[in-house]
Parts: sequence; C-alpha cells; structure tokens
Amino acid sequence: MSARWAVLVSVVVSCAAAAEGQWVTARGRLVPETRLEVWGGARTVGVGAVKPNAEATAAWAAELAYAFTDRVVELRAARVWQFTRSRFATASANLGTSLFVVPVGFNLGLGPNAGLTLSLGGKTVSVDLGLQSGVDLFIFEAAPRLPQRALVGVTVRVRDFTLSAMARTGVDLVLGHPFVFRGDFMVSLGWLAPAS
Amino acid sequence: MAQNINYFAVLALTVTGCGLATPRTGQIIAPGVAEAIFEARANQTDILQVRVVFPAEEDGRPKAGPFPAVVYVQGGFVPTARYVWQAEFLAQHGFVVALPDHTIDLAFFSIENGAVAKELLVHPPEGSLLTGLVDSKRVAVAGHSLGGVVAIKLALLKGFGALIAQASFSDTADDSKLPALGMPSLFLAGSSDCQAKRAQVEAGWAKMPAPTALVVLPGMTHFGFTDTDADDAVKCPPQAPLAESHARIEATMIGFLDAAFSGSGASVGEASLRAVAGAEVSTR
Repeated sequence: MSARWAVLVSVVVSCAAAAEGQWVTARGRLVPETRLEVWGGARTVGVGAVKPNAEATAAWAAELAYAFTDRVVELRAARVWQFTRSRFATASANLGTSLFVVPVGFNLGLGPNAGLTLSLGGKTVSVDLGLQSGVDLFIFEAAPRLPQRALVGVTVRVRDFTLSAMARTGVDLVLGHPFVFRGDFMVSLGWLAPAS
Repeated sequence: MAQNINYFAVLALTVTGCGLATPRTGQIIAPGVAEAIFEARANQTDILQVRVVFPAEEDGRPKAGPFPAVVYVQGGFVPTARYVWQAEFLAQHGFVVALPDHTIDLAFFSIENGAVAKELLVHPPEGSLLTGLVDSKRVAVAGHSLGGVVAIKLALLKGFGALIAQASFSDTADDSKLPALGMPSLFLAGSSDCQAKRAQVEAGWAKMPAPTALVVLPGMTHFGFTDTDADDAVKCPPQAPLAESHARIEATMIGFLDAAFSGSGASVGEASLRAVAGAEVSTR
C-alpha cells in the first residue's frame, strides 16, 4: 500500500471516529494464505473470507452474516490494506460497504464502513484492537445511522487453523435521536487455504 | 427448477422465521387481565419485545376499546416482569400497558424503545389484538428509577399525554427542555428510599412545569415499586408493609391518570392524591 493511500484511509477512518466493519477484517495482520472463517456469536452467525495479494499487503474480504436475534441478513465487502510488513505491532485499515436486508417488516440498508486495526503479537498468537465506523442508510428512514465501535480480540493459530474470540462495543448515532448502545461478541474458526 | 424454488422457500422461511409476533389473544394473568408478547422493529434492524397487559375477557380476547394506555419503562437492571403487578392493576382499571424490553435491562442504552412501544400501541399490526384497543390521544409514559429518567426523556420527545416518574428525577441535560413539557406530571417517591433520596426527588420535581404533583408515600423504599422490596431489606429496610405501599401506589396512579385523561383540562387530580392514606402531597 502506498503512503498516499495509507494517509487517505487513515484520514477517512479518523473522520468517521470509529467504524463498524466486518468481523473478518478485524485483524491488524494479513496472512499470505486465503482465510476462510465461520463464526457464531451473541447476535450473529456467519461465514467470511479474506483473500490477500501475493505480498500479503492488501486483501479483498467479504462476509455474510445472519443476525438471528433480529432476523436480519448482513452482507459486507471490503478492501484491506496493511500499513507495514508483518511485525510485532502491525496495523491495517479497511474500507468497504455493508448491506442489510430486513425481510420481516421489510427494509433495506446500505452504506460505507471503515476500520482501523492494530495487531500485537506474532504468527501464532495475536491480540487485535480496532476501531470501526460506518454510515447505514435505510430506504424507510431518512436519517442515516452512524455505527461507532471499538473492538478487542485474540487469535490463536494452530497449523492451518485459527481460533478467534472477539468482542465489539459502541453506539449507533442517529441525528436528532438518542444513541443506541451496542455490544456483541463472537467465536470463530478459520482455515488457512495455502496460496495457489 | 421446482427443487430450486423449494430450497429458496426453505431458506426464506429460515431467514424470516414466522414474522414478527403479533398475537390475536393473550394469556389471562389476573381476573379480567391478559398479557401478550409483541415484537416490533426498532433502530431499523432490531427486534424489540414488548409485553402488553390489557383488559380482557375470560378467553384472553381484549375487551372492547379504546382504552387509555401507559408505556412503562423498567428501572436499571430490573426485569420488566417485576413491574407486571403495576400493569395488572392499571389493566383492571381500564388501561392498556406496554412494557418494552431494553438491552441488558438498561433503558438508558436504547431510550427510544419506549417510543417504539407507543407506536405499536397506537398503530398496531393489522389483525392483532391491539387493533382499535388504544385511544391514541390518551397515552402516558411512566418509569421507575433510571426508567423514570428515560420516561422524562420520552415525554420530552412528545406524543405522550401524561408523565409518571417513580423514585426518579430528570437528567440535568434535559433541564432546559422541561418548561416545554406540556403535560401533567406525577413524581412518586418513598419516604424511606435510600437510592432516589427524598431530597433528590424533591429537587427534581421543583424543575417540573405545572400542572405537576409530588406524592411521597410513607415508609416505602426504592424497590417498593417492584413486586418485592427484598432487595432493600438489609441496607435500607422498608418502614411500611409492601402490600400497603402497593395499595398507595395504585390509588395515586389511578387518581392521577384519571384526572390527566379526564378530558376536562389537564389536571393532576389533587383531591384523589390527598385521599391516599399517609401520603404527603405537593402540587402546583
């Protein structure tokens, strides 16, 4: 990732204050393998994938989640950029989009999201600290919803598999309305598919 | 092709479940009173559960409305089930009561759930038991403790006709908005409350615009507004039996709500409040 892009992404994320994005991109460190992941949490179950470029300095990521408590389908896709080569403290930023499908009491939401994540640790064990933010626009609500999240997680790698536990908390801001508190956690199992 | 459609139907059913719960009858929980659990959408994507208690026939069908209503906001970390006793007596006096859930039982984290519950009452799903049950012009908002703080915030959002704050007072951030409240209000306090102390409630009440009433009930503690005051037993023992306190709460709330919704001008029902045994009443 060029320095110019890194600055641009950082500015976008800081302007958003903190961004809600994907679970699968909530890691500061990219790995050379394609990571496939399934998770279950307090609010959602889902699957996702992160496919890095040859140098593992950038990646495409996507995830599909079903919020079983609210019966909402969530789709997210993002581009991830790692700021530096992997080392003990590795940071990455991501910029993407979210789609919400609310089948019951029909509604549709769409909007950008961004994230900034710092990974501390190595290839085997790492702790991730992140900020996420977004803008969700719904077809039956004029005011945009601005999710702001902070997250913390730990990932352990054993051979080609990863086990992660992550928690995310924050608020949704809506202009002219009181904030709504949010809290969520998930446990995920990942498989690292060797680069072809 | 047909198989694909079947798969799609199964997927759609899995994703959507059986739709939002919109009951047509309730379950009898007391003579002439039934309860039903509704679901409503809040914050675009969230499903909010709302417990509705209403005047009912013996088979759980609602009695013919429209009735006045109360949206009741739970206290911090106190489940809505502990306020059902209040909903029961209100329903026996001809009120429909909605008790919305809140994330981890903290109403401050999702303040507008009360507004969603009110919307459910006045614009109910087609064919549900709430159809035609509530008089949209006579909906009060009430709350206990932290729920009272949130009830005041909801009242300031407009759309309600009366306000009841139990063992509570306003958020100082709302002070500048209070003069424009525009509805009768009742502050209910226990004289032996160690959490929402009498002086705090009185100071909070002093900020409320007329017409308003402050009623202090003798010997009652903070959790006397719930179904048990056992939580106060060790550090702040109540000085009045719970049954007596409950009877006073009932008489005070009914007296206030009847006056507030009487249609002959906004009033707090001072005469009814002064008739409550042992109550200290202030009005303006």
